[in-house]
Amino acid sequence: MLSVRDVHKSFGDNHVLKGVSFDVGEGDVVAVLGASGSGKTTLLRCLEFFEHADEGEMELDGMSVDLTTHSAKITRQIRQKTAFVFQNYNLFNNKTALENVMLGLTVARKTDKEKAREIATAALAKVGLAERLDYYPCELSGGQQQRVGIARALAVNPKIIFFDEPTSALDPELVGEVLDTIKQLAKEGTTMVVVTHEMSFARDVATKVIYMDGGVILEQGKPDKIFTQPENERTRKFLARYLQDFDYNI
Amino acid sequence: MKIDYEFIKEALPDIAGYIPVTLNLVLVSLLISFPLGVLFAWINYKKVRVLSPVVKAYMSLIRGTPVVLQIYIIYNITPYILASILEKMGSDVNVYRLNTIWYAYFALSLSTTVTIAEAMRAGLETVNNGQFEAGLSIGLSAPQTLWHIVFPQALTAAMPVLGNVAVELTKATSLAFIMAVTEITGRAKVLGGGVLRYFEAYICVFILYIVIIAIMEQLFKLVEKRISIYRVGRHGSVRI
Repeated sequence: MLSVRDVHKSFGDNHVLKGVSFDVGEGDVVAVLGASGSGKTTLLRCLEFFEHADEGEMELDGMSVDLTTHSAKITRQIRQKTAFVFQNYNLFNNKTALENVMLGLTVARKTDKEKAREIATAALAKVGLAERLDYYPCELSGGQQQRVGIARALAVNPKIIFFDEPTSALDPELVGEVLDTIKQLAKEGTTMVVVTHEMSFARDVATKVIYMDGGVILEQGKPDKIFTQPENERTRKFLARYLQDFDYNI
Repeated sequence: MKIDYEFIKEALPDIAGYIPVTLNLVLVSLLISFPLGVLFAWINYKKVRVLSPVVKAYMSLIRGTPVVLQIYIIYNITPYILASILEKMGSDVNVYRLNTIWYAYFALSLSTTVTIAEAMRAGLETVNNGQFEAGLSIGLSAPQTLWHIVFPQALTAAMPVLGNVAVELTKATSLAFIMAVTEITGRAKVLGGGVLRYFEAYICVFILYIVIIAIMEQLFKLVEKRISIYRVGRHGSVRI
């Protein structure tokens, strides 16, 4: 489905990605873990062409592309096959929830308006927001906004959805509703790459875990294996920090 | 001083008859300067190479000089330049017979473009780049994202300032009589001068400007309220 080869990216002197390669199969849920600054988000942004990689290739759904390309046409072709869920939702503030979800259909894909409304309504119902169709982003809570963001991604029927730390900007009590939505999608076989700090989510939902450190993939494999017998010392340390029981009594 | 109320009664409708000229000056100047202003705003916002410094130089040139002076220069120099260009091209169009209102449009648009460009650039800066990326991510092209997402929000943010720009422009049209365009101020000057009743004539235009601008302000308020609905929502804010 998705195959990424040897991605390099520098910002000035800062070599953020130093040759990243991985594969995603159909229906896979890939969790990308790693400390801040390890290049997770940059990797995802390169795959969506928000950043231009310095080197690297990608094959998505039978289409091979050079990740360094600046071609608007190729970029758009790839984006028509993918969708992206942002850390801070990035809903269109001037559009209602329904319009946010419809826009990718009516404008980008020239879907008939009635048909688009049907699809968008169904997508919003799926994320539990059937009652909020005509609400503007300013009237929705963070969790609700992120769920609209997920519905917006779903509606365009992408081959794969990239999630960039979808719960990091949320209040703790709102994280659950968004994770539940993503879990639901995973169950239905949606192919996803999720950059996350939610270890329990990675362990329970992902079919594959990638651990990144210093711009390279240190380890990747089944979550059972990564979480119980990590091969690399640094992976072990990172996981230990997160997996210790959070029962501090302050 | 005795005020001649009879004269006011006669002059007011006469001068009011020139309101269309004033409004015409406002509308055409806005039609010219709005697209240009948006374009300049975009060029500055994106810091387009070569163009951005040119636009900035133009803007500080216009901002740094009085509108009256710009009008004098345009009214006195443009015809010569136009005439010599046309002559070189072998055209026998006589620019001196061109309706002077075109010079007025031109002169008024110069400075209006600058203020619109500034308002719109500030407006563009209120829209976070994330929304632009979100548009691209669902398959919209860059122009489509600009049109549906970025531009409407920039316009909403700029609306209060744009309202002021329109009001300022309306008042500036009173300078058009320098260019022999008879709008309400020009007409008042002529009427008042004929019978040496300047004070009464100017009282009339005074009232007319107040009325015109009060109506404009209300219109802008309505538009602003309508297009900024997304900022307050329809259901009362329930944001947690």
